[in-house]
Amino acid sequence: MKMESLLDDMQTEVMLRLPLKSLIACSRVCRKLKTMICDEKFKNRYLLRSMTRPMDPTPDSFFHTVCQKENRLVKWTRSAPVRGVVCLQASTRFLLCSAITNNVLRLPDIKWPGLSPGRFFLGYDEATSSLKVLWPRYYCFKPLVYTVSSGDEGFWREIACETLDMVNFSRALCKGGVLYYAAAAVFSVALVNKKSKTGKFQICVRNEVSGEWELHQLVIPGWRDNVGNNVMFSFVGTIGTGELVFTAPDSLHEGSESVLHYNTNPPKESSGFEMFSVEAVNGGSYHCVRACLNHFDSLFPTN
Amino acid sequence: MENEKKMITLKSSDDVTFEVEEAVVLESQFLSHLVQDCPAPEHKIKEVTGKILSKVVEYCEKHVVVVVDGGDSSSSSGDDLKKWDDKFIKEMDLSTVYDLIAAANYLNIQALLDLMCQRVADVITACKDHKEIRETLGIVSDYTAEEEAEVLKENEWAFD
Repeated sequence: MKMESLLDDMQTEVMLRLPLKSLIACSRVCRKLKTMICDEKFKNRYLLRSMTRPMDPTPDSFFHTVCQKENRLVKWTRSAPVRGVVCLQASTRFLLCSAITNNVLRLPDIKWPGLSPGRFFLGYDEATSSLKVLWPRYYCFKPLVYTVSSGDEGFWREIACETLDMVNFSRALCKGGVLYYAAAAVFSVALVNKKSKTGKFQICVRNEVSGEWELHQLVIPGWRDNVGNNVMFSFVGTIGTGELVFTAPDSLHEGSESVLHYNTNPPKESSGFEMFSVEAVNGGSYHCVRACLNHFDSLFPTN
Repeated sequence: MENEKKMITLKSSDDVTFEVEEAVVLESQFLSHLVQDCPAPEHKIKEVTGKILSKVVEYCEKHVVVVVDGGDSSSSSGDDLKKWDDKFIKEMDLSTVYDLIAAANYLNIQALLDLMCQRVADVITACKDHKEIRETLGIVSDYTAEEEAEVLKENEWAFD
């Protein structure tokens, strides 16, 4: 029997299990596979699947290529990939780079008197099929949002949010419709309450109806018993199965990075903690390894 | 403990018969329904050949033991089962893997389907480029030279 004689559904099952690089190679094999891979339904299934497994580190060489076209001397900051797109930022310049179509979109320049533009976030809005870049612009209380959908020009607009200035954010998440929220960063041993041995975690949520931002606090029981006091963990994001993900990049000098999952609805007789160790890639010759998630809309923290 | 185990006979498309315990049959959603709805002692499976059915039975027999003796430390543990799965697929050529995918899909045995699809995906992943994938899967390209050049241009960066 040949691969081609399998039912289309079965061929799809195989394609869904391929890493992105092999998937692209398959699109070069023949028309039939290309059509299958470029199908919108397939893409969505592939994305969904890829979000529940650990991601390969995105090759930085690609981003160097992109940077060199612009200006070699500028230091670009890169967002975590969202649906195959990354956002690069240098000062007040933003670029959106699509890994699927290999397009680069330069966002309109913005005037910004500050020296450091601070963090920015990239998200995807399923309701309008548009990508959004959130730039909190700390200390000026006027976060900017850039919205772009395929075929459109895209535009910056100002949103009102005073809460955003109050917390130190690490990652943004994007949920369907108008809800558009950013996750709070501060999570480390510093926040662990030593007496009760629990961890506290804050997250900032934009209420879909009122448009107000609210600060939610989540208490993680057993943090110290399970994680200990010696390792600094920082929040990376949430994944599709409703778990919070943390990493401890400081442990890198030991040759590996630790990734910690915490299940917000732990099954019975389970602490909800799960620790993964990421062995140093390429014999540990990298200076820096960073964990990134393909952000997925989990129900947390709305339930 | 139940000593008397109900036996069921499965007959392949080319009339090879296999006598298996009922528990083995229950690994397949399709066969469980068949056995429940039609209590005949023998079931003919027209879609699957004897060669492939023997593999399916081998797989199900191995996996059923684990579930039944779950708490017993002397039985196959998860690790052992994984080792067995690895050995099971490594001994198989791709053509047999495709047949097993078709059979697992028809008989509705999800774990076997997952295992086999992953095997093909692993083989493809090990290929260094699209040409090697064509060779491995035995696919003849239907792109014209121009089209192929065009497709190659897309996503070029992914092959840095």
